[in-house]
Amino acid sequence: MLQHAPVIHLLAPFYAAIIICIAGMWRKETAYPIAVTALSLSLLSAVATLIKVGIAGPVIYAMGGWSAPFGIHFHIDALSALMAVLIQVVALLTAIHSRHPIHSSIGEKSYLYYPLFLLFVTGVTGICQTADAFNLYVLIEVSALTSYALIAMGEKRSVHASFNYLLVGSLGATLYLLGVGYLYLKTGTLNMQDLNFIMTTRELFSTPTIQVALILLMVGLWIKMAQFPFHGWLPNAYTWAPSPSAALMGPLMTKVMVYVMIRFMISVYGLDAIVDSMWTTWVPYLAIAGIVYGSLMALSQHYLRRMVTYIIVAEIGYMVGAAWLATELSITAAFYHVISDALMTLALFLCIAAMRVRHDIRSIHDMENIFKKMPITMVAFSIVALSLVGIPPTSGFISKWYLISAGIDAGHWPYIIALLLASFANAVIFFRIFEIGVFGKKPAEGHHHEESHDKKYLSEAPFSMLIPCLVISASIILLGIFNQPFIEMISTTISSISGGEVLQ
Amino acid sequence: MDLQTLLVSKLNYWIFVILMIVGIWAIMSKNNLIKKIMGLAIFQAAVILFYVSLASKEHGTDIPIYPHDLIHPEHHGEVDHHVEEDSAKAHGAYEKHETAHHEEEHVKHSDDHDAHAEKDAHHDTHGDHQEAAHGVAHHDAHAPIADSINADDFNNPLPHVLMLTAIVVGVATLGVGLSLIQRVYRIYGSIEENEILEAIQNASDDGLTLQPEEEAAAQQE
Repeated sequence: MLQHAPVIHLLAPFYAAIIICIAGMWRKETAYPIAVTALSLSLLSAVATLIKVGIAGPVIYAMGGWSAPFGIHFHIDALSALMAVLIQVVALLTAIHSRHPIHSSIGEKSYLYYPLFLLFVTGVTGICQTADAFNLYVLIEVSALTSYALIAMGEKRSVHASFNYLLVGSLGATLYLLGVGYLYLKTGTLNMQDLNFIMTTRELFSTPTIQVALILLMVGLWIKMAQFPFHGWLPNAYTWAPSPSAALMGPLMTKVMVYVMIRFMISVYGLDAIVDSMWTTWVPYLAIAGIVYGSLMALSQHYLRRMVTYIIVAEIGYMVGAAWLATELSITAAFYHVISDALMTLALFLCIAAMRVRHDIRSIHDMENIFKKMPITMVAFSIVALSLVGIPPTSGFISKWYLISAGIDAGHWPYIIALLLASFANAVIFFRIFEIGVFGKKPAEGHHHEESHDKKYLSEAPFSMLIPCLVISASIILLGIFNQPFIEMISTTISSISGGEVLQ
Repeated sequence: MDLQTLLVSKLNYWIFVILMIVGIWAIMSKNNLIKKIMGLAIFQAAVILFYVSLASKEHGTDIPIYPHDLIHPEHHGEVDHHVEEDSAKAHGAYEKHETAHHEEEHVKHSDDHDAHAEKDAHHDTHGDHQEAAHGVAHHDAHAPIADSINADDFNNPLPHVLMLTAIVVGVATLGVGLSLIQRVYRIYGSIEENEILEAIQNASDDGLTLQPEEEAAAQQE
C-alpha cells in the first residue's frame, strides 16, 4: 500500500470526482462527505510520502511499470512531497470550508461544485509530482480548465472575468507547450532528468534553441502565475469567483506555477545555466516592479477580496525575484515562501469569506466593530495580518528573513528595499483594517441608518468555516516556530539537485 | 544566407510563426468574443503544426506494425535511451535545418544519401547508445525484422501522440470558452467586448450590487 502512496493522493480526488457525479444523481448531500473523505485520504498519503522521502530520499514511481525515458514517471523529491502536502492541506481545509458558502450561493446544483474542485486538486497535485515536461502541460490544462468553471460559478461579473482568464491562461499554457517543443527539438526527450542529462553532456545550453525555449517556458509560466506585466487576469478572476473557489485557487494555482518555474530552473536547466543565461541581471527588476505595483494597488483597494488579489501579485514578485537571484540560498527562501505564502493567502480568503457569510462584509468600510462581532475569526485574521507584515514568530517573518538574507547574500539591494517597502505597505493596509475594526468608523460618516438594529450583535461563522480558519492560522505560527526542519529539507534537496546530481 | 534560402528551408517554422501571430492578433484586437476564441484556436493549431512538422522526415513513412513485432513493456525496460535515440534521429533530420553549414547541402535537395550520411555522422557521436539498443535487438526473438527496420525511414510517432493529447485539450478549452460566451451573452445581452465593458461600467457602484446570474435570468423571463 505504502509503495503506491505517490499516486494515491493523485487518484483519490480523481475517482472521488467521478463517484460524486454518479452518487450526486442519487443523493446530492453525499457530495460533501465523499469530497472530504477523499481529501483526508490523499492528505494521509501525501504525508506518508513526505515522511518516506524524508527518510529514504527521492521516490520514483513509474506509471504502469514503464521505466524512465519511455513512460511517464513520478519523481518525488522533498520539494514535490512538500508541495503535495501543502496542496492537500489547502484543499482539505477549503473543502471543509466550502459547505456553507457553496450551498448558500449555488444552491440546487452545489454538488457539481465538488467534482470540479477535486479535479482541480488532481491537476495541481500531478503538476508537482510528474517528471515529464509534456505531462506537466496536460496537468496544467486539467487544473486550468476546472478553474475556469470554478471561477464562472461566482457573481455576475465572474463569467466575463473567467473568459478573460481562459484566453490569457490558455495563451500561457500554449507558450509553455511551445517551449517544451523547442526542448524536444534539440534533445529528443521530454523527461526532466533526461533533458538535464542530455543538455549537460552535449553542452546545449548556449544554443539559441535552448535559450528560446527558456524564454517561452518562462513567459508561459509567468502568465500562469500572474507575474507583474502578465497579471491582468488575476484580480478580476479571483475577486468575482465564489469565495471557496478563490480560497482554493488563490493559494494553489499561482504558487504551483512558481514551483514549476523553480523546478525548471534547478532540475532541467540547472543553476549554472540559469546564471550563464544573463537573465539574472534583469528578471529581479521585473519582480521588483511587480512587488511595488502589487503593494501600491493593494493599498488603494477598499474591496477586501480585490486587495488580497493585489497582495498575491506582490507576493509572486517576492518569489520570482528570489528565485532569479539564482543562488541556492535564494531559491530555498523562495520555496519556503511558496509554502508560507500559500498558507497566508488561504487564511486571508477564508477569514474574508467567514466575515461575508455572517455580516455581508465586502469592503474595508463594512468592518466597523468587527472584533466585537466575530472575535474568533478576527484572531485568525490578525495572525495572518501579522504574518504578512512579517512579525515573529509567524512564518511570514521567517520567510521574509530568509528572502532578505538571500538578497544580502546576492548583494541585490533594490530587491531588499522593495521587500521592506512591501512589508510597510502591508502594515499600513492591515493597521487601517484594525483601526476600523476596533474603533469603528469616523464619526463624520456615522449616519448609516442600519446601525441601530443589525450591526452590533455577536455572530460567529459556522463551525465548518471557523475551524479551517483557526487550523490554518495555527499552522502559520507552527510553520514559523518549527521552520528549521523545513528549511533544512528544502536547502539540502536544492543543493543536491544543483550540485550536479544527475538522477537516473 | 539569402532570403530565398531562409524562406524555403524553414518553411514549416515560418508557417507556424505566422499562424501564431495571427492568433495572438485576433485574441488581442478583436472585439467579438467568438473571434477571440477563434484566435486562441488558431494559436493552438500553430503550435500543433510546429510539433507535427518536427516529426516528419524526408521520404519518411508511417511506422508499419508487424504483428509479431509488437514491443512489450519488459523489453522497453532493458533498452536504455531508446526513445531518446529515436527522437534524436528526428532531430538529426532537422538539425540540417538549423545549422548553417548544412544549409546548402539541404537546399539543393541533391542527394538523399548525403542526408543519410549526415544522420549517421550525428549518431556516431552517441554510438554507445545505439549499440546498446542494437545489442538488445539482436537478442530479440524477431531479430531479422528488427534488423531490417531503419528508424530513418519512418516519421517520428511521438510528436503525433503528444499532439493528439494537445488537440483534445484544445477542444476542451474551446468548449469551456464557448459555454462561457453563452453565459456572457445571457448576462449582458451581447458578445461584443466594448458593450460588455460599458455594461460593467454602468452597473451601480463597481458592480458589487449585481445580483447572482440565476436571479437575473429569472427576472428577464
